[in-house]
Amino acid sequence: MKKVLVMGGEALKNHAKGPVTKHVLKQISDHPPPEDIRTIPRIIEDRCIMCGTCVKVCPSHCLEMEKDDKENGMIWLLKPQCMWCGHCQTYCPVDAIHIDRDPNLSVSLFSFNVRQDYEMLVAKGSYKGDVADKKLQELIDEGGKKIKEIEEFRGA
Amino acid sequence: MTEQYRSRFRTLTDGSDSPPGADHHIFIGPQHPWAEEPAHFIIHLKGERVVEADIRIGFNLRGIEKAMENRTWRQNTMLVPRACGICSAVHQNVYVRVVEKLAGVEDQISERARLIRMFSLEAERVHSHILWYGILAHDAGFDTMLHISWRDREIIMDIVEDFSGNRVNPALMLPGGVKRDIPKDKADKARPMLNKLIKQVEYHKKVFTEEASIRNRLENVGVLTKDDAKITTPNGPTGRGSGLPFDMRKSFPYELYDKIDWNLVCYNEGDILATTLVRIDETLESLQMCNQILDQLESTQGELLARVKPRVPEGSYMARGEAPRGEDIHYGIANGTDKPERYKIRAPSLGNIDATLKRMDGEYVADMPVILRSYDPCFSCTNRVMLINEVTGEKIIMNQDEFARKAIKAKRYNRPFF
Amino acid sequence: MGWLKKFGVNCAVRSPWIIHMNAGGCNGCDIEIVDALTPRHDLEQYGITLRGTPRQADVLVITGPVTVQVAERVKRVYEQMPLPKFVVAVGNCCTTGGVFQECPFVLGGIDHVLPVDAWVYGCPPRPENIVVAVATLLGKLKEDLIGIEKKEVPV
Repeated sequence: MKKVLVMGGEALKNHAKGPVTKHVLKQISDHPPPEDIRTIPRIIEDRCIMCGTCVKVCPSHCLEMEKDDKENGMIWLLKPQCMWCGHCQTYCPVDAIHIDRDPNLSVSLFSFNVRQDYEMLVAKGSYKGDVADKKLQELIDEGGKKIKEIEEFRGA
Repeated sequence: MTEQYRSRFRTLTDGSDSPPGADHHIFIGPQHPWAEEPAHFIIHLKGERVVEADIRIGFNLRGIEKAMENRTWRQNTMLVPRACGICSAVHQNVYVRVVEKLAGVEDQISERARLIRMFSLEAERVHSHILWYGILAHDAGFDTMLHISWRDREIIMDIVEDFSGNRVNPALMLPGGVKRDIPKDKADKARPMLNKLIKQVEYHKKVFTEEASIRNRLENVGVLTKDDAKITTPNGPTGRGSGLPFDMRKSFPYELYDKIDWNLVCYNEGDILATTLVRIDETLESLQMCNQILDQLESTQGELLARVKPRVPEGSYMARGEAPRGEDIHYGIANGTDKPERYKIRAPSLGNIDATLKRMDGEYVADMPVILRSYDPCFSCTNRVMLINEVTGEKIIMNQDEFARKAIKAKRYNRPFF
Repeated sequence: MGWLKKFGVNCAVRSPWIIHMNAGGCNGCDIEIVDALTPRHDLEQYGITLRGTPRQADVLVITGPVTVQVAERVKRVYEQMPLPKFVVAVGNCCTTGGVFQECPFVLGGIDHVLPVDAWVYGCPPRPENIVVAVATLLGKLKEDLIGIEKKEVPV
């Protein structure tokens, strides 16, 4: 009889506590994943020279480059297609791509309407002409190991 | 074996082509609580005993080999690990060695890059084996072990995530080296975790050898004798449980496996318990190797990534590696452009199917889940050929023997392939 | 009969039972789903359990780019589930085809075959993402569930 009373008390206590969901969501937000986890690429526009290497090297064709009639281009990321492999970061000749953890990203890891946020603009700039040449010259002056490879990819 | 040769890769699913003596047929799959993946088994029974079992694979056919011909060698580095999600690092490692040999840069890979690759491979072996014996315990009706082993598996997953950035697809390797370094602070953080995991795995071994309820489900069940094993040629832990001491890491050492102390694990009993113990002992060996690799990394310096040009010169090469499930073979042909001419993957699970079907003959139907699980089924690697008749839309999945036989007949009698 | 339906919906939201099917994936997402069910990320604390048969399931969790052969089977499993029923696509290849886009025997995305309620991104997604997605889906579903009839299956 005593046992039954104790069990009933436990059950009532659990009802009063409310859903567990709350606690677990808080627990997950309290313990974020490691700093250098791989997520979708983010391009630093100051460094990007619009060479198109990341577009060529992407295995799932999730990066697309759009060029207008003049000197300007845009790089789009098809977010649901990207598989976070980090290939674009490895082969980027100017180290303009970050795939590290972004604190804002954890919200956008799932969606209820896949067509809503399908495309994402990641970089825009000029791919040829004076502005692009000046930027490239600055990067070459800055030095670095990968800079030798830039000329090879240029105009791809 | 029946007198006349019956191929065990069936395309019929109604059981009309059953062996003589069978009076019941059990159809399993493609969607079934036993398996995570789509596969179809037909088990022919007489009473409660299994007469023979057939299999129909091919639901997972995606055509990776064909897709690889349309992509560059660089893009394929990330497509190949998706041939199988659990043994992704092995597929990538073998692919990378094919490309390096074809491009002629295999001497330039530094020792440090090779050590990091080996760490990735061994960590994957650890997590794959722990995963497997957890699910085996679940199939034997011992759910506690599933939860205990998967809880401890999180330790190695944390280490892999810390080093590579992803839990299941580490994707550390590239033609020419590795992508990320393992710095000293991360290695120091990993060492106590590895030691903790070693203790846990020793406890798992104690459970599997001493706990009567699980031991009775596994001991003397589905015995594959050494003679049978020689006929059906299983590879990997399935063969090592039956007394075939073959391991690619010992027979044809790649990377730096000949410079590290480790023992080949081999049991002679041939039952399911022997395969389980092979895997548990291998887990302990791999963890011990991980510790050695971390120690060696401290004193080794070197360039991480050597330059490999996007265009690969003409030639062909075959590389092999030891996946957690067995022997993994890749064969690539390059034609001088930046895309492969032809690429062939032979994954380990396909070689183990025959041995497992042989194992079932004469067993009780209640032991089927455990026996089917024994070779670590992974059908995503297994399916490679599908033929489609353009006129009727009929589809046939066949293995190599059937394909060759059909092709020879078609040529001899000068008739269409179908 | 309005209150009965409401009661049913409430029960379904409180403890959805899921069935898991691999539609030709690489196994990476499958082991992460099983991982979400085991002690560290314990999905069962929400009342979610993994069922073996579609007859008892409310949520169909699908992984993998839908291959030509398995598409028919996926549809059959979906038809066997009782109403109300939901589909969660886990992983990038299930969402859009991902890395398998140009593969010859792949349809590329489960939304060619079934109506989908939630997508989880990642290759493979971390178990935390799956937990968060399922937990958020439950809260969202309760509102727009009451008026649900039958969803159309795309041809």
